[in-house]
Amino acid sequence: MREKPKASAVPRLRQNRKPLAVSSIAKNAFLAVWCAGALYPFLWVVLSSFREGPDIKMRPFALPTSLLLDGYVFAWIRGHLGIAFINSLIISAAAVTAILVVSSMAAYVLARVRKSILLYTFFTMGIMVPLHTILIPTFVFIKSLNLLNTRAGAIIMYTATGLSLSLFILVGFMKSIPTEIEESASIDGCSRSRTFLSIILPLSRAGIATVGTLTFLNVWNEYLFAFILLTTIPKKTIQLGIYSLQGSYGTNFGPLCAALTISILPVVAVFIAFQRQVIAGMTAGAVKG
Amino acid sequence: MTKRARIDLSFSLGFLTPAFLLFASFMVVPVLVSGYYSLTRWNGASAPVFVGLQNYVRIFHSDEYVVSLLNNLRLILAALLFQTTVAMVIAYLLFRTDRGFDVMRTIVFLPVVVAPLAIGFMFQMFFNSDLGPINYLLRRIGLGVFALRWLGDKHVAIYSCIFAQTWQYVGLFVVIFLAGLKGIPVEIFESANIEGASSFQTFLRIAVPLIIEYLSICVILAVTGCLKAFDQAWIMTKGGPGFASSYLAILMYKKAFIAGEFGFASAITMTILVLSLAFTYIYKKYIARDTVDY
Repeated sequence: MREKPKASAVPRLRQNRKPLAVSSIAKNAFLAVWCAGALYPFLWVVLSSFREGPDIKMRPFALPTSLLLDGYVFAWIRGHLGIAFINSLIISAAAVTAILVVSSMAAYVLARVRKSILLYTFFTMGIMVPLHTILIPTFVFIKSLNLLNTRAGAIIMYTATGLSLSLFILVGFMKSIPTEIEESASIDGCSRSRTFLSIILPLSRAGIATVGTLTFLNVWNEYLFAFILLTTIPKKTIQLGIYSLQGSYGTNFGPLCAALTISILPVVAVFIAFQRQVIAGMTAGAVKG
Repeated sequence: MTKRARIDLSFSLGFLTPAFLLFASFMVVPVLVSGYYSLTRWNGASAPVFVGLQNYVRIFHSDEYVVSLLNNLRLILAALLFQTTVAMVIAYLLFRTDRGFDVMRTIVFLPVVVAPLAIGFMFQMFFNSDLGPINYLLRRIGLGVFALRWLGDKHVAIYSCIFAQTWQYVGLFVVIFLAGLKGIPVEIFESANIEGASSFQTFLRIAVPLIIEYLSICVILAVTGCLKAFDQAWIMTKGGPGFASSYLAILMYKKAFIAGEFGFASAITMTILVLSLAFTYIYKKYIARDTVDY
């Protein structure tokens, strides 16, 4: 037996995505508190970056009284963060390019030309390997190739370690492209490489964007491998730059907050611009498990 | 072999070779080499001396290793208990929200994309016992007794590190659960509502059981991710005081690049690899349910 529901309990079917947007004070309060807890630490860092160290320590929750840029100037020049920022840009851009070229080529073969389960498993196995396992051998290899303290060494390492996940995402993506277009191209006498360049690549744009953003974030944020591969100031990445800034100038919160803001800004920009790709990429590896 | 097949074969070889060479020489071979190093005594300079399983025997007698492993397990436990439950609740609440959904999802996910090193530095400032905002606040509201030495006390430091890392990755689980919730047919929620189920009942009886396979993903991610923990704790405490807040990866780094015991350090990394592969295998084979019937 079912009573006629009261008017307020009737689900309002707006979009089929969320049929029953119930609004309750508790729910909104919980979400608001959580969002504040996720956002405020970053806000604190940005606000503090415009203040002087001693002032932050005396009154940590006060707002900046003026737009003091000393921390930024100090971090960028004396802390060598300017060089580090440019190094990180170069290394990330090169690693993204290399990964996209190498993995899209391999993915095309594995998804379309020669569907070898064995090779596919071989390549994607790397997702399961904790990268610490190869830290010491990587150091030894890069050293024996005379690539310690070169951007090239770091770029090779980031490309190799990012391949598994990129291949996994791109093979999955290319498999979902309908085969008809390719078949007619092949009947028209289109070669494999021509098909790859003018049909598969343009149709894989979304997958490529996912791999590209994910690789950028991973490389920009990576610390441990950079720490052992790049030790001189002219070669350091942004993460190493912050690390040595803090090491040489102790607990001076002002420049540290400025440095953190500088390092986080590009990441937030990329995240907001490519939100769908970032979330797809970060959860893709998870689904593989 | 037809001409077409021959062309395809040479094309495949050409297109696969760069990926194969890079992957084989900088991923596969290093894993094997690491396995070999773990059976040697080696200071990184002279030639490695083969010592059999000696490093592994040493691991079991090493207090540092046991403490570090326990810290990894504490982190895993925190991730399983807090990160997954909080994420599930947030995902459900977000799922049932129309206004501000996109903005809130962006904010919730934001910490995930920031470098773990930056998160480490942020919490190092927050937890600073003399000058940090947390103790400042506690003293101001008269709770000065709780103004602990968050990073300097050997009983507290590890929990501060665990807090930072757990806080950072809640958002990752939220979006995984959101993906799960979006896969549930809308009719199920509608009929639950018509039947008069409360929001809480719907959550517990419908949402949670139906996204259980996404929970499996989170469990595997939590365990394998926590076994790799390094950055945040390295920045916040360097594993200290002593090795009170050390993780396996921190111990490995210190043994290799500070103490110069590359063989012993390699044995530690092999245990990280084996633990993480074994867990994934056993969990998928015996515990995880593969499919959900609607």
